[in-house]
Parts: sequence; C-alpha cells; structure tokens
Amino acid sequence: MAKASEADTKKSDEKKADKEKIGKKKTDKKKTVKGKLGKLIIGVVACIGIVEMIILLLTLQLSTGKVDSYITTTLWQAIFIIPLHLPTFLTSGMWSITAALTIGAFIGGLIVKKIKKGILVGIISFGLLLLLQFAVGFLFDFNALIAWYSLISSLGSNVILDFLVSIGILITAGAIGGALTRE
Amino acid sequence: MVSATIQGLASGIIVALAIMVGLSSGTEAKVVVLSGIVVVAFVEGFSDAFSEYLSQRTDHTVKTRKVWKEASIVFATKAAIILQFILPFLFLSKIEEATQFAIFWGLFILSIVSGHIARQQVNRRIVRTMVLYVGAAIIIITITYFIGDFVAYIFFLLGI
Repeated sequence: MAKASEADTKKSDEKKADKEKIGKKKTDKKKTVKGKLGKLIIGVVACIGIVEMIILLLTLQLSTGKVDSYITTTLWQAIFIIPLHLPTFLTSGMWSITAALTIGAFIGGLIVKKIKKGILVGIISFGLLLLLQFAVGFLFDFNALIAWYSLISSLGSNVILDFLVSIGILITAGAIGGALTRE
Repeated sequence: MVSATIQGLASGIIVALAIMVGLSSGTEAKVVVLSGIVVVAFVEGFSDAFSEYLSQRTDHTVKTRKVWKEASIVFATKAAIILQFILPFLFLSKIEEATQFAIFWGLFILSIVSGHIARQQVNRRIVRTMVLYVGAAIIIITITYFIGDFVAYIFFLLGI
C-alpha cells in the first residue's frame, strides 16, 4: 500500500514537472515572439521618427515656433509626402531627404539585427508613410493632397519612379543596418 | 588584403571629408574643392597600394604578378571610394549643399565601414565602434572647417 502510494506520488510529481516544462516552453515561445515583434515595431517607429525629425528640422527648417504657426494640414501632408518623392524634391536641392530616409532606415535596421527584418522595416515604413499621407488627405483636406500631386506632376516627375527610389533607399539602408548588427 | 583595404578606406574617407570641408570653407570655389578631392584620391590610393606592394614583396612565396594585381585593386578601390565625393558637386548647384551632402554620405559610408571592422573583432561592439569612428570624423571635420576659415581670414588680412 505504502509502495503504491509512493509510486502514485512519484507519477503525479512527474506529471507536474512535465506540465511545468510545457508551460515554460509556451511562455518562452510567447516571449520570443513578443521580443521579435517588439524589436520590429521599435525599428519601424525609430525609422519613421528619425525620418520625420530630419524632414522637419533640416528639410523644412522649422523651429517649434514656426510649426505652431504653419497651416496644419499642409505641414502634416508635407512631412509625409516629401520623403516619398525623393527624386522630385532632390532636383530642387533638398538633399536632406536622402539623409532622412537613409539614416532612419539604417538605424531601424541596426535595432532589428537581421537583414530580412531590416528590409521589412523599410517596407513597413514606406507603407506607413503612404498610408499616413492619404489618411491626412482624406481626414482633413483632400483638395490639398490633390494639389500636392498636381505640383509634383507639374515638375515633370514620375510618381511611380519616386516611390520606387524611396522604397529602394529604405530597403537598402534597412538591410545594411540589419547586416551590421546581425548575430 | 581585404581587411587592410577596409581599414584604409576608413582613414581615406576621413581625409577626403576633411580636405573637402577645409577647402570649401577656405576658398568657396567648386573647382578648388574638386581638384582637392581628385588629388586626395590619387595620393591615398597610391600610398595604400604602395604599402600593400611593399608588404607583399617581403613574402618571397607570393608571385610578382599577384602582388601587382592586389596593389592595383587596393589603388582602384580606394580611389573609387574617394572620387565618389565628386558627384554631389557635379549635381548640386550650391557648394554649401554639395559639401553638406558629401559630409552626410561620407559619414554614412564610414559608419558602414567601421561597423564591418567591428564585426571582425573578438569583442564585437558594433554600434560603439560606429559612434567612435563617426564622432572622430566629425571632430576632425569641424577642426578643418575652422582651419580653412582661419587661413582664408589670414590671407584676407594680408591682402592676398
């Protein structure tokens, strides 16, 4: 009887240990997925944050006081449209857009520590900037958005080429950043 | 040979940026800056290639043809990396804009090169090495900017 109860206790202890192991594996897996997604999100946020800071401070050369007095919708559209039309604005001497895209995606790539994730940072950042551009247009002033694209077309630019160049720079810089810090 | 070339690239980029900033702040003449970059490209490329040639020649097992080939590759690589700084001055009209873009581009290439150097080391502190290299380059560029300005001021005072 005593032996039987000992064996039962042993079995239940083993079952508990197995359950704990499975539970730990699931928690570890969740943490890894969270960690991976977390790094990607931080990389994208860092990329877009740096791009917009450089656009505001260097390209548009705005101080805090000027930002307050600027026409809000035009400013918001400008900061999302300008990075996606690099060749158009580069011909007007706005070289800092190249710096914004390169540095933003590069730092995003450094954060994610993998080449593929660096590329993903570039693609997601491009998609977000495009989405935000249209969101500002649809939510606030769609005519202003059309006016921006009319301006870009009047400068003799190709919108598709602009998008391709911008996404190319974001992807390349993100991949280089990811390649340098990969484990 | 590859790691020596990459380490040489870092110094070459810093020298090219410093020369460019010093000349543009001192003279504000595009032609002077462009000729300075070409001269630096040749000098840096040649000196590194010559060093590579001499170091390879000490090893008698290496064939002469291979030595010349490697020296040529070192020269071509270094000269090409430095000569690319000419492009902003060709495409951007204002010298200040071209200098600023060239500085940004040079620092970006330098951070990639320094990151690659850090990856080869045992104690791989990649971001720290990049920050160190870029920080050192910025300090050197700032000093040469003021040196160029100071020289221009002295010449102005002397009436030259």
